[in-house]
Amino acid sequence: MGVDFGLWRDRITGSVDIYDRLSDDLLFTQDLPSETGFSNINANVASVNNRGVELALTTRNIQTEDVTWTTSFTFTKNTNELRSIYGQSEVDDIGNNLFIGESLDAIYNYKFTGIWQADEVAEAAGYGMQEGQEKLLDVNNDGQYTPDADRIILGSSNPDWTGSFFSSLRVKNFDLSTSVIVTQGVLVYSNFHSNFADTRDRGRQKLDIDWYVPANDAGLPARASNTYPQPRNEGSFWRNNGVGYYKDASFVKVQNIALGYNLGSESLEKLGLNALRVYANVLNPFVFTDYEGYDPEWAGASLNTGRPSSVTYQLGFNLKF
Amino acid sequence: MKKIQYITSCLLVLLTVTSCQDFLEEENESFAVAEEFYLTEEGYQSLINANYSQLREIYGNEPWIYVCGTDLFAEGRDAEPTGLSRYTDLNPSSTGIAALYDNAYKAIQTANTAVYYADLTEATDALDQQLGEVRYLRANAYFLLVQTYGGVPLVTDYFREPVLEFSRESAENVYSFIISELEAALSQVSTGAYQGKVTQRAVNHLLAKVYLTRGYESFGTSADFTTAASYAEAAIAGQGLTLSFEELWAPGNPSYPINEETLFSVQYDPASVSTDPFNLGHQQTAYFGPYQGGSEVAGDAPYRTYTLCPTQFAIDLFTEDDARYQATFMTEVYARYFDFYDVDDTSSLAVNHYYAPAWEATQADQDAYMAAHPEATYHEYGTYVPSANPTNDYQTIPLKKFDDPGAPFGQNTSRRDIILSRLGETYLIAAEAYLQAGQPATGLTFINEVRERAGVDAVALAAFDIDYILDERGRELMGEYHRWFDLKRTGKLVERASAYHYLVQESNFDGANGALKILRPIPQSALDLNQNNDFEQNPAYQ
Repeated sequence: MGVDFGLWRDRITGSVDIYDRLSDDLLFTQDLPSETGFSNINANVASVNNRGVELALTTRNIQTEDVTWTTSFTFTKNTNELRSIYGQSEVDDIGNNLFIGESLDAIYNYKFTGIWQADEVAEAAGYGMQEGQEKLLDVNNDGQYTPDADRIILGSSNPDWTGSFFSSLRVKNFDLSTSVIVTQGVLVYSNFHSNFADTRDRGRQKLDIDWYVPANDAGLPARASNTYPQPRNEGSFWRNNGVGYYKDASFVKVQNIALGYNLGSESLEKLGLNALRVYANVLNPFVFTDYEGYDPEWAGASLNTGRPSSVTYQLGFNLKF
Repeated sequence: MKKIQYITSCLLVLLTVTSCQDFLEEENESFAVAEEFYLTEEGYQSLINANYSQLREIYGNEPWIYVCGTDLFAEGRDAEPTGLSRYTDLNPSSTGIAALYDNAYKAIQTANTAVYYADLTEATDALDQQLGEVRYLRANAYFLLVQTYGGVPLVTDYFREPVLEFSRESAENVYSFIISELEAALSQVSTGAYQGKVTQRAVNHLLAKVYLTRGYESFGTSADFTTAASYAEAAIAGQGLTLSFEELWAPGNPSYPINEETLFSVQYDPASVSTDPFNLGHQQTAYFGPYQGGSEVAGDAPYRTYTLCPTQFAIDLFTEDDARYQATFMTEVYARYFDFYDVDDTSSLAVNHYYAPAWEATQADQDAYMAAHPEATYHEYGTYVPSANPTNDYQTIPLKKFDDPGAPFGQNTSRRDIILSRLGETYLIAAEAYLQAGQPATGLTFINEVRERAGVDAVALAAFDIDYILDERGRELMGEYHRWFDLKRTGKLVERASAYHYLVQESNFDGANGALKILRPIPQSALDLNQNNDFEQNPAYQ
């Protein structure tokens, strides 16, 4: 369902789209149980509901001979929900990360809650853990970490909402434009952290992280930390399940700011030109995020693609004869 | 004009040639459908070959699950997967747990495919024998599974559409299946000498081992030990241990013959890995000793990870007169490691490293050796073990049995067969079976055959017990992929690993529900893909 509208002689235009769609027979590369001896097949396995809203709003805030200013906003919110798999809606398929009633991009794992401290040694031992190792949420409070009971949906790599903002301002011969994108509420497995905060890997430089240091005779000052375990003493949940590397990659990113000057018609005539625009442009000048890795927009990508986004400065002119 | 004439005559020639029908008919081999291909003799043979090549997947990679966390080996400078090597954080997601499970079921499905097509394919003289070989290979995969994980799903169907739910079968039924399959295969396979295909002696050997292992289980009986003994004798078939232990393991450059004591092996040779020699070989050589240098020593010394280093206990199993000591360990490393194999007269070669045995532990011994080899680094007895926290290269003693001097430098490059069953072990199976069947005097004769070949004194009846057999297996089979199974079978895993592995204590085995972490956990990846929510994890990991 959608509405397009224009108000006050189209000074304000926009659209609202709301949808709620059920798709059956979603094509999926389905991993098969080990016991079959096969790895995977491509099959139509799932029915998925997509619900969401898309808003767009463009306003011409000022419109005079010397000054025009236009801004646009977009807002997109999509939630997908798995309704059934393999013709049933009772049993999840954990191995294929398919959970009935959850997002297709759900993240399912133990929840990392901190590090076992020196005064918690006895409690940690009950979980088969030691001081300096990762502490997890014991969901059913039974005193042990079990895959069936203590792994939960931690979040989704499908963002809560995304949006954008675009502004274009002209004052006489000058023009200034900028665009901003926003992604909020997105959880990713950060390949950046699993590489640059993995103290077991001797192969590369590490982030300066506050890992746990227990009291020791080696002359190192003890350091309590609740963010990173003691190097070389990480438990298997940290090493094998990667519980410590889920990060919120929400961000606001200014994609570009451009400032230009158009030469006036009198000067153009003198120079014998049709048009001349001189401009300065900067790409990716600012990113506002709590994510510590490279580019939060690519936080979930592999390290080969998720590299830093560079800030690019451009100076130029457009010439028309 | 001339050109047009030329083209015309060409066309005429072509027309005449193409009128020959056979020339036109194309056979698109790459689009052959399995359903049709396997019905032909050639296609079915390729399916059998595929079954054999599954062995490379099962045994050709990291051997952690076969030998890690035992009394004989521990990590040196490099880490072994801690779950398998120390048991403390052994859980369903631990590194190295899933590979055997996945690879065994891949092999089983490949076998199921061959069994299925056996009824449909072109009838040939070889068919019955091929079917027997496949049944052996499938039984072997199930035997690995049931020892490692306990009762597992018994899958005997060839799948043509996805099956998403599997249930555990009892270990007892899995054993029954293995035994019935092997006993059926016995009359199908070749009775000839081993040349790469499953033979009757190989089946007898595996049957002996399966019965022996079942004998210890709660559902086993003492009759199992008697049966094991008679199958072992059938496998031995009166053959004596005539090769010297050094000859038994000599690399045999440039070709890699199977010697007469080999009953079954995973087949490799230089030709079969030549398309990708850095990846198609296997890893057996890459363990059991210290790091000996990187690519700068390529061609001079093997690549080894600093893992699965022989423990002090493993070294102390040997006495001076035991020929297996020198044939198992590289006690003296020349400036070029492989000169041991490549140079006939090694007496004048410079020595880089010398590992002094227990019987040369005095200062006088050291002085004498250093006077003769002033250039050598002398590793005193007791220092070249993983528990000494090695930091330098060559600080633990290398195992040389599996060396392949001609192999390219790398981790996946060995081109020797991985020996799975050999006559020396069959003798030890017979010894153990007779001992457990209450006939130790008979068992004694078999173990003493093994000892005689090694040049050591016969063991007396009074000293002959299960610990003695495990020690003898350690000496005879060091590094062969049996040790974890041996300790588990005989109920000695906790005792021996905690006594002789410096990183393992008895409490490391404590699991959930008061159960010990002896059976491995069913891999979480397999549980997660199985739609049957009632599929139970082993008690120690619940």
